Amino acid sequence: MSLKRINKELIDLGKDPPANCSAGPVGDDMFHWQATIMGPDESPYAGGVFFLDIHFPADYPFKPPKVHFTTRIYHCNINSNGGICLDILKDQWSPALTISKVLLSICSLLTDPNPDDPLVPDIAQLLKSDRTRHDSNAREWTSKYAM
Amino acid sequence: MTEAAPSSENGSSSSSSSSSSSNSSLKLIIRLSSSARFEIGGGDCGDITPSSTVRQIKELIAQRDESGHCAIERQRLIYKGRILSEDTRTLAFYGIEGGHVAGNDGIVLYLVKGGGATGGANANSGNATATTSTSTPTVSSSQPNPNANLNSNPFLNFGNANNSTNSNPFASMMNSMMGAGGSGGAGGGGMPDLASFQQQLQQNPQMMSEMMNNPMVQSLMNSPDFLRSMMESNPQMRQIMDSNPELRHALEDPEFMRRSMEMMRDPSAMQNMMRNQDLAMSQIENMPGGYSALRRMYEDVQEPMMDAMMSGSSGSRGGGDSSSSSSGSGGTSGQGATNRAMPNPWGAPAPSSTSSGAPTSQGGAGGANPFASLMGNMGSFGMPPGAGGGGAAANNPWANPAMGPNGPNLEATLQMMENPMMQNMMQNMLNNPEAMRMMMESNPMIQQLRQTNPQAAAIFENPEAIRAMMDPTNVRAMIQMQQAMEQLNGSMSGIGGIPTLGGGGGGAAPPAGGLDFSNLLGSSSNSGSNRGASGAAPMANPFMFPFMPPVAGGGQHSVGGNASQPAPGQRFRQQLNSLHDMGFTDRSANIRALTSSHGNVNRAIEILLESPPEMGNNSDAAGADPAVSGGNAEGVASQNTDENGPDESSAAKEPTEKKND
Repeated sequence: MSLKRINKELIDLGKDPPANCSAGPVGDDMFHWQATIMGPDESPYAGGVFFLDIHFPADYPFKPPKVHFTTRIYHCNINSNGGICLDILKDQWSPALTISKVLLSICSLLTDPNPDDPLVPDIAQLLKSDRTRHDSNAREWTSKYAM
Repeated sequence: MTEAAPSSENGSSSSSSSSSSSNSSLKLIIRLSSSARFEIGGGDCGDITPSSTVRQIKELIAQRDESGHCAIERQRLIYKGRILSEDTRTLAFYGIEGGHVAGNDGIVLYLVKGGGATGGANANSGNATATTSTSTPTVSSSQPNPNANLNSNPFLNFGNANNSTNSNPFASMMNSMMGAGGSGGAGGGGMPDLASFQQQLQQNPQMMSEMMNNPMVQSLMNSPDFLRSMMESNPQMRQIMDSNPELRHALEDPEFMRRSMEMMRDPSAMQNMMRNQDLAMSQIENMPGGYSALRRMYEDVQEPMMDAMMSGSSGSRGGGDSSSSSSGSGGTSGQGATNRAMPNPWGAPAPSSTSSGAPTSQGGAGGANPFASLMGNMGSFGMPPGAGGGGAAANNPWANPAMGPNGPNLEATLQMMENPMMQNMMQNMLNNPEAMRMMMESNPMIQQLRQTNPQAAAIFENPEAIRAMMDPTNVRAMIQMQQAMEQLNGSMSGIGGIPTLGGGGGGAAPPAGGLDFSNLLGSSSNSGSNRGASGAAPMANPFMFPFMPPVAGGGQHSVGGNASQPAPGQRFRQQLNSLHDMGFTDRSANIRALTSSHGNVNRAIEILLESPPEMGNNSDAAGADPAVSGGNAEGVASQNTDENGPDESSAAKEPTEKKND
């Protein structure tokens, strides 16, 4: 069942690809995908290509997929493990969501970080106190790791 | 890399031929990050078939106004989460074929325009920087010639050797010699040019591959006889090989070596490794015990080194000199060198460059250390890259320089020394012990070494020994050995699907080399290597964890959908019983209903009544209606309004209710 759903998502992604995101299975294992998110133009991550690793649980879509960044990114909601602090990947997951929507949510998280619910407090602090420096740090990391 | 399609090398030019044998033509939709899009292929401008190469596609894109005539080397094409990184590969290799595209829409590729850094480095395009004026008459094909990094003309500065500033090629040569042959001291050390080299290497993984593509290196690799004779002719080498049959085996297997070289030559693989290493490093940090292990290593090694640097001479010299000063035992500084990567980027979120030598090189170290990451990642995390690299470097001064930027640097050194003029000069110099001594004494690094290590001092007193060390053949042998070492480390951990083996490989191999080395040159690195071993051991285990879960998970996945039952089955056991008592005997349907109703029996009954129970694998319903996709349970939650209308609203309400909590 989950396999079917995952297959369908893959086909849908091919038909109607979301902006700035791309995803597909790594190999033959449909439960393990890789994805890329292109840094949104209006964010300091513009021009970067960020890789993500997606693991579907066996009971997908009833459980959220495990998504994490494999590219380093300077972002207050994404920690050094690449873990993403995003409600829809945790308690707000709904089976109606798809990988495409998840990736879009992550994209919008890049544009609008949420410093009030940070995973990396230092970055959140800087974002609140000195946005310019935060952005230049983010740009620096982007050109370092994602270009 | 395996061979992709039979026609992977399709001839570089002309995408116009409609002779495409059996392949149907494709239409590609190129999307830009600005959500603009344009099409190529489909008879529009040139046919594209699955056997077209990535480069052909890029050429087509470069011709288009819509892409802003984006230069080929700046283009990054993305398909299904993958970057089409190798220009010579065909589209089919990346799975871009007509077959699975529904309708006639075309296949969407994303185009991202890269920054100048990576773009300019792409040396296989004609217009990439052809302007580096290297005066050395070395091979032509490799643009970022390693020599250029040292100094475009080593001989210009040679006269200043007595002053031995660190930027002086000879000093750095000496330094790398120390790294390779002597104390292992300089290691990945803080020499300014090494640091910059490192940085450059990081920005430019292609340089690494360029170096590997260097005909000289290649011919070296391809000539096993030469390799062997070289090794046999070197007594030190022989000794090592005699005491290490394993190593001998690795060294004598040209295929083995070649494969590792191949790997390094593949820029995308390298990049991947670097990425993975970064991640691995941070994962170690989050392991239980891993962080403290890191911190201990940091405190044991990094801080003394920093202290030493502070007390050492100031300025840029400080980095180089004192890193070797603290390297009385080669192990320590080796460990330090690899260690540097760890505390950095994630620990200090603002990666700004600081004034002293060491912190600057810190910035690069994490990603920049291709050898270490190679070593770690060849084991696909069977061995912790950081710890393994650290441990290996600590224990194995031979491997150490190879893992640090010294490896490539050595290559440059080698080239330099092979120059007849240089050899002449060296000869003259070596024949003049007085000049030699003066030079040595003027170099604080060597002095330090001599003070801390009488045996090394003895070596330096002996012009013969120095000559032997300078002998290009020997240097080469050393480089070979380093590569073999790291190859060995990697391959040992490659076995490491089994955790103990992987850990064992990480732990066992390096000390062997380390001991040999200390025997050989009598450096006092024993304490260092012990510490290194203990450092590596605790890390090896925590690191197994991230490795194991995917395996376990994979096993579960292969079971497929069936695996979904146990969890909710357990969770809703009570409700399932009551449903069963009520006459709903289809257990899997019950579970689905319960899952989507979040355990609410009443709602589950509604669901069950509305859609007659069916087996989970009823493919027709799911396949035909994309919205239902996986059986009725999720249909409830998705947009299917026909049969599950009422439920949809209630299901949709659920999350919002939760949000309010």
